[in-house]
Amino acid sequence: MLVLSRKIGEVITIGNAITITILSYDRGIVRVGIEAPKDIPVHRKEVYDRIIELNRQASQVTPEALRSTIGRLQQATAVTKETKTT
Amino acid sequence: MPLPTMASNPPTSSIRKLTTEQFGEILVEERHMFTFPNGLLGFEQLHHFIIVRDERTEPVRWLLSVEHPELSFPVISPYFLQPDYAVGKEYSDPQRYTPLVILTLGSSGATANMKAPIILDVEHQHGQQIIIPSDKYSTVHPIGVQQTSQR
Repeated sequence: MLVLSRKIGEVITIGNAITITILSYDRGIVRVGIEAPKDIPVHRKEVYDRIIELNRQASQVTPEALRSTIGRLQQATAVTKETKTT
Repeated sequence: MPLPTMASNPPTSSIRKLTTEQFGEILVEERHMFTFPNGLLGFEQLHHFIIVRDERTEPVRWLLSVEHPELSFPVISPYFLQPDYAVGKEYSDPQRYTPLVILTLGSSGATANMKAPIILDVEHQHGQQIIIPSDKYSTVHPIGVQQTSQR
């Protein structure tokens, strides 16, 4: 891993399209500004990891298991549909 | 002079047969397939999906991998769960983009990942999973039980 020391307001560039600016530091929290092209998604890693785990869980769900839990959902959506059309 | 070989390529799209444990045999027309250039998060190797309807679970449908038909993900329109759901300006054209959210069964029942919807581009048969940056939407939005108990 490349390790760099930066002061507030200083910038790191990655390639020609990504910049990372150190905005502030306060009580153990670093605020960072990131500019990247639209097709490069930028996310907090813990959010990203949670979504991967949820996708993995979702791939294990079977129609039978889901059916037994969504009876109520079907009722609820029927109500939503009715209120939508009125 | 070589002629274009139109006659040997009839315009009908080819049909593939998938054998699945959960849904039996499924015939898939290639034009109904969605291409996911980046796959799903954690499943980056999956690039082709279809939407499977199963009357046992309607209105929940299944995003099924064409490459690995044993892998499928329960999905539902987020508008069923939250009528004012909004994925962001760039996907706001309802003629072109259809959002779906993935459901999970966890210890607290069924939840929907409202923060990381799948966006289908029905004009180009493309799909992608995005992450909505704001804190407005939860990755584990409770469904069904809470909604009915509120009424």
